[in-house]
Order: sequence, then C-alpha cells, then structure tokens
Amino acid sequence: MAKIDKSLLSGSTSLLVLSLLKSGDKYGYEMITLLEAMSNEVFQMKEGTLYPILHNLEKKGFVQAYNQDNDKGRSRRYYHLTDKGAAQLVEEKTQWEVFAGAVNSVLHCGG
Amino acid sequence: MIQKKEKDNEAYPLAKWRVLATQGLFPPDRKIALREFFDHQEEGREHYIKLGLTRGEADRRVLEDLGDPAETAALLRAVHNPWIGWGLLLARCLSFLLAVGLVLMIWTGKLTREQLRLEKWDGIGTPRLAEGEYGVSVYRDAEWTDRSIKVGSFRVNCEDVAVGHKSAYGTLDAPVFESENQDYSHVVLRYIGAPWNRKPALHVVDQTGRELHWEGNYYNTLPWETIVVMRVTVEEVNEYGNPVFYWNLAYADDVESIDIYTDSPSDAIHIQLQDCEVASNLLTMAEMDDCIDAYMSAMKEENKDGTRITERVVSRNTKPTDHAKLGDTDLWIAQTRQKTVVQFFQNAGPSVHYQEPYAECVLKYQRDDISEETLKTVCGTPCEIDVTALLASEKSSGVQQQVTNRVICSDGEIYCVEWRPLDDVVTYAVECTDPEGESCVLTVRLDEERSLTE
Repeated sequence: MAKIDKSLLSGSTSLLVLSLLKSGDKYGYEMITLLEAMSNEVFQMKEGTLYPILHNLEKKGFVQAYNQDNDKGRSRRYYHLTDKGAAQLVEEKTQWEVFAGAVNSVLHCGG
Repeated sequence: MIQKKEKDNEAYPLAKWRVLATQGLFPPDRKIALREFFDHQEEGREHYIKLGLTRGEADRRVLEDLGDPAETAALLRAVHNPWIGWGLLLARCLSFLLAVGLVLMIWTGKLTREQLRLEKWDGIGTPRLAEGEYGVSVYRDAEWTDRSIKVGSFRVNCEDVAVGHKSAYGTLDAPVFESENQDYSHVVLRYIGAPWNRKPALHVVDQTGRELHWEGNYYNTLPWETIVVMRVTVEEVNEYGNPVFYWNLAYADDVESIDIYTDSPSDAIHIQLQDCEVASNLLTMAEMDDCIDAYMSAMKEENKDGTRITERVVSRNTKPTDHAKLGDTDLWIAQTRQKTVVQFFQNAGPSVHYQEPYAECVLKYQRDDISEETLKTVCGTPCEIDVTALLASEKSSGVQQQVTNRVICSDGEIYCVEWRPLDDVVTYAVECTDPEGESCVLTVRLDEERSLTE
C-alpha cells in the first residue's frame, strides 16, 4: 500500500469525520477504527489528532457531544451530527467532488 | 510530591501522555479532554490485549497510535483558547457580584425602584429629560404645544390657562368641591411609572406641610384651601412599556411651592410654583382659544336640569383680580374663544353649569397712534377688539384713549362700561357702573410678553 502524504489527508479530515457521523453517533476510538477499516488502512491518522478535530467541529456547531455509559459501565463521549453539520457535510462533499474531478481531469489530460 | 508524580508518569506512560496532551488548557476543558483520552486509551489497550499482547506491549502500541502529545496539546489549545476561558469566567464572576450588589442596594433602600429605571423618559409631545432626571413633568392642562420651559431641572410643556375657576372643573369627577369662589392655579403632573407599577401613589406637599395624596381610585377631599388632586388617569404606555399617569392638580394662591414624591419623601421633587415660569406663564388669547376648543371637544357635560352644555366658558383672567363686587352683584370677567369677548356673570361666576352671562362686550381697540400692525405684534394675536356698543363709541386722541359704551344686560338693566388701556395695549381696566352709581373695576389682560425659549 502506498504511503499517503499527511498533507493530502489533513485537508479532508473534517469531511471524513462528518461523513462517519452521518450514519449515526460515534465515539472517538470507534471513528478511528472505522476510518482505517473503510479506507483499507489508507487513512491511518494519529489518534491524538482526531480529538482536536472533533472539538473544533463541536465548537462550530457541526457536532454535539454527550456522555453515555456502555453496558460495561464505561463512560464514552459520543458525537452527534447536527443539522448544521449535515449541511456542512454536503457542502464539503461537493467541494471535494469538484476538486477530485478537476485533479483527475488534469491527470488524464496530462497523460 | 513532585518526585512521586514523575515516578507515576514513568510507571504510567499513558497517564503521562494525557498530562502532556492537555497542558495549558482551561481547567474545565482540560477535564473533559483528560477523560476522553483516558477512555480512548482504555479501549486501545483492551483491543491489543485481545490480540494477545501483554499489558506493557499494549500500552506501547496505544502510545504509538496516539502520536506526539505535544502536537495534540498545541492543536487542542488552538481550539480551546485558555485566555477566552479565563475571560469568560471573570465576566461571569463580575456579573454575579454586580447582581448581588444591586439586590443589596434595593433591599437596603439605597436604590429605589424608580432610580433603576434606566431608560430615558420621553413623553409624547414633550422634550426629553436629561439623563438621570426624575420622570415627572409639570405642565398645564390638556393641550400640547410645542413650547417648553424649564422648571428647576425639569422641562415643562406649557399648555392651557394659568388660572382657572375651580367650579369650571366641577364635572371632572370631583364633585366634592364647595362653591367657594376662589382663583386657583391648575397644573397637570405627568409621571412616568415603572412598568410594574400600575397604581402609584402620589404625594403632594406644599410649603406649609399640607399634604394631599392620591392612591388607587379615590380622591382626597381636603378643603379647597389646600392642594387638590383632581384626577389621575393612566393615559398610555410609552415605547418603553412605562405607564403614563396624569394628575390634575389644582392649588390655591397661597401655595408657593410643592414637593412631589411617589414612594419615598426622600425622592421628592421640589417645584417652586410662584416664581417659576409655569405659574407666571400666560398663553396668548389664540392659544387659550385653541386649548379651550380642544378641551371642550373632549368633554360632554350637562346642566343639572338636563340640558346639554354646548359651550364652555372658562375664566381666563389672571391675577390680581378677575372679579369684583358691584353692589350686591359679583362680576367676573370671562373670555371666550374666537374673540376677546368679555362676559359678565352674576353670583357664582362662570361655572360648568353655564350660567348665561347677563352682559357681554366684544372688545375692539382703536387708537389713532397705534396701527393695527403694531397692535398685532404686541398682542401676539390678531387682537381685534370690537366693542359692539349700543351707542356709538367715542374716541379721544392721545395715549389714554377712552371708549365708553353702554351695555344692556339680560335683566334689562343698563350698565355703563368704560374701557381704559392701562399700559401698552395689554391690560385693560373695565369699570362697571350700575344705575345706582355703584362701580367696580375689573382687570382684563389680553396678553403679555414672555420668553419661553431656552
């Protein structure tokens, strides 16, 4: 598997996190493992950097955090995608598609 | 203690990572982040132990996955700015202290509820009071004018007559007055109340300590010699939600000053009545006409015998006298609208029951040495004084012009009336003589010069 430059990932992390939350509320560790699995281990971000991203999204109102205990009595901090976050996801996804399409177009034309 | 902490960090590298990754955060934010990282590390450790690693190996793998704690701390500090956190905490503390201070001041009486009313008072048609001024205005009856004058620190909107006859106000829901014929001054106090105070008490005390107060819906019935509050109404609510109260206040001649307060005597407003512009202010004849018109259009009254009063006559004469005894007859001067018509009444004078005047003259002044233009300028009103005499008027030249007329009164008696200008066409002395030779003099003031601008 080719090693991915960190800079390619850094601009897309909020898009990836919002996308993960679209399918339901999740906690931090769960998001890390899902991200890795769904990307075939391409996206392997440092786990410590996920939480500043989540907190930033919460500050902007795109996600809402709450504590919940699991069946083993362990407390987890879950994140929920807000309506504002859903709208932001749509916008970032559109921007990504335009960007990716443009990159692909240049690559194919350039040979 | 420090050595133990360092030992703990060595023994517990995950704890050390958490401490480093949350350094510099605002304490409440740090607490949340610490808990979140702890839970994350526990999950990771469990995952690697399930895969068959030892606890120590699992912890090392978790640390690897987490990455550089310093980098995480920097990213967290960018999101949770500690300065903002401390600033918000300080603002909350100051707000709490301020609220406590205000409550204490209200409770100890140092700050009245009225003083808490921070919005500016801006009554309809009246100028704004300056900031901090109490929301009470003294002005005369109902008609709004554009003029304002200062009374102490307050601005006064000047309206209506300066002196009225008390019986003219007999229908203003205050039938308790005796028929004492006494001149009085009439002002209306307008007060802006706090939104929660729909029925404020008003206390008015004159310089001798005589007091009248009004509360709720009843009227104090002190003898006429004292101050009388005649009516209180809540006319409107201003744009700030404050109810606007009006007290019609009539006071006798010997009242020199009044102190007005609502909740506490310490908040009293002192108004010097005799010396201030309110008490001495006179309106022009035209303005008085307008005032009366406006007043009458709002009033519907009936005589005691049930006939409807269609016209109201209000005495407008000012001090020193507007009535005199002529033999056994009391005469009053009353000036009605439209013209300077001087009416003579017997007995109780002009009243709400509209006694018909038994003599009436329309004044017309003609002097050879004063043009009509000058006359208008001085009087401030198109003061055409026309004497509709039964006999032709006799003019004499010179400054002191005398016009002698005879007036036939309703009872058939004839009175000779002389009109003499006493000064520069402002004040007239009307001398009335009855057939028995008794005479009296009434003073008619048409206008006076006054400056009402700031």
